[in-house]
Formats: sequence, structure tokens, C-alpha cells
Amino acid sequence: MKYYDFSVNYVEESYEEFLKVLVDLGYAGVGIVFPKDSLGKIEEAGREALDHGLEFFSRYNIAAESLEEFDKEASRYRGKVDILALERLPPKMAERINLKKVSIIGVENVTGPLIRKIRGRAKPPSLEFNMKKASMLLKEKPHEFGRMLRMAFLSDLQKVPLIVSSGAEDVLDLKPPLQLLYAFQGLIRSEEISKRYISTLPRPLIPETFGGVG
Amino acid sequence: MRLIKRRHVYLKVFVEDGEGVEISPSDLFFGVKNLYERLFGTTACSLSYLRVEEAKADGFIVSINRASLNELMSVLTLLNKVKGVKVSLRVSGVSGTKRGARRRNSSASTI
Repeated sequence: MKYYDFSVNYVEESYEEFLKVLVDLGYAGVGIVFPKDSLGKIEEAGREALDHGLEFFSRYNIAAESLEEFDKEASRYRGKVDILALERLPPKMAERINLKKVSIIGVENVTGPLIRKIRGRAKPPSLEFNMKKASMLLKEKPHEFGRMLRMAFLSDLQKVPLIVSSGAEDVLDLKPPLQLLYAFQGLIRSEEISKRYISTLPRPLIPETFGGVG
Repeated sequence: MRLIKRRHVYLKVFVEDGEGVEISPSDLFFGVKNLYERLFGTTACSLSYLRVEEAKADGFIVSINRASLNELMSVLTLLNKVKGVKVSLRVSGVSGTKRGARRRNSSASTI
């Protein structure tokens, strides 16, 4: 089975070390998050990942304060990266976004109604549980961490596609795929262990990447 | 007959700029215990029968009640500071015996 980590931040100085550790840990593919000023390095980074035998997906995270700003960012970066993700938007506004515009939504941004809306779609975007973000919220905003857990639990209950990622900002943040999986299932107190959380590609990505299959 | 079935987790500890920083089993135990209590509560932590011992220079074996294994994984993944130093705890083997955990560690890099 192939394991993916869809949220690893691009750090030019230690990029090669990142790739080596990911291969050592047993990942088959990686989603690299590029900041605005590094979008020009996508091709080179992709080549390097392929040289290490990793499937490569470029990703851009949208952080916005209003719907207008979100729409502007989404139109600007659509087509430039493989994955467009919603990293931050006030949850009440996130309920009103056009779901076709993003492939991944951070689970801390969603609400109950949005989960139901996503569930009703034929090709829903995936929700993402980011371990680095969870660790940060636990330290700085415990109430937000609690909300993140509740939303992850609700998504799991409603069978909405959910992926678990490390959100690594340096090499120490990378974890083995099964450790991430068990950690997530421990947090949402799930009895049944399923590898779909670390082996599923975000659905809107599948037709673009594999020529219409899926 | 054993009343509590245990799982032994082989843990590799990576320390940021770790020259000269020594992490002892008791440092790791209190780091894990504090976060465990914060996440799952004192009762769950007590019933987990948590134990930590040193395995090698870069590794520890954490033993736990089998029913609490997933909770321990959550704690090990979210714990990123021990003794004020940034660390990364990577699980490299899980088994019902310590010998098994050591063997799994030497044969594979991930669980």
C-alpha cells in the first residue's frame, strides 16, 4: 500500500534531507507546500522528488480573512499547483465557499453544516487533519484544538474523505506513516484502524493526475 | 496468568542540535506522562501502566497497557519538547515483548 504525506513545507536549504527522510520512513508520495515566493521552484523540486522515487504534488495554502480574498487567491493560483488547499478562513465564511475551487480543506476551518454539504457532493474535497497544527493549537489555543478534534470526529462519523498529514516545517516534524495513523485514531478514539487516512489521494486530484481514472 | 496485556514500543529519539543533550528515561517518562494526562486525563494515564526504559543510545522502550496503545501513539506524535529541548519521537517497532520490539526496530525503520 502507498502512503502519502500531503503537507510538508518547502524549505530550500533542507529539501533534500526532507526527501531522504520521507523515503526512509516509507512514504510513496509527498505534497510539498510552496510559499508565494517559491512557486518558481516547483519544477526543480518535482524533479528532485522523482529522483528519490517519490510521487510529487505541489501545493499552495490559501489563508484569507474574507470570501473575496479567498476567491481572488483561488483564481490566481488555480492551475499553477496540483493541490489548492484552504488553510485559514473564518469557519462561518468557509461554509459559503465554492467547493470546486479547493482540493483540501483544513479540518479546523469546517463546521457541521459544511461537513454535511461536503458529504452530499459526488466529488468532495478532502478534509485534512494536520498534526503540526494540532500540536500548535494544543499548546496555544486548547479550545480550538478541542473544536478541531470534534470536527475530525464528526467527519469520520459522516464518512467524509479525511487525510492525515504531518504539516512538517522541519525534518524533526516528519513521522512514520503508521505512527501518524495510530495517533489520529487515538485522538478521535476510533476502534477500527483504517489505512485510508494515509493512503487516499484527494479526489479532485485523481482525474487530473491519472488521466481520468477514478 | 498475566492480567494486563502489554505492548512494548521501540522509540527513536532525535534531538535538535543534540550535541551534549542527554535525555534520560525519567525525563521522557515525565514528558509523556504530563501530555498524556493533559490529553486523556489522570484516570486514563494511571490505567495505562506507562513505563519507560532505555534501550540503546538513541532509543527507549515504552511499555503500555495494550488497550492504551493508540492513546500513547497520539502522545508520542504530539510531544515535541522534552526538558525544554525540541525532540522528535519516531516509533520504529511495536511488539508484545521487549525482545520483539528490539527485533522489529533492527529490521525496519517504521512500524
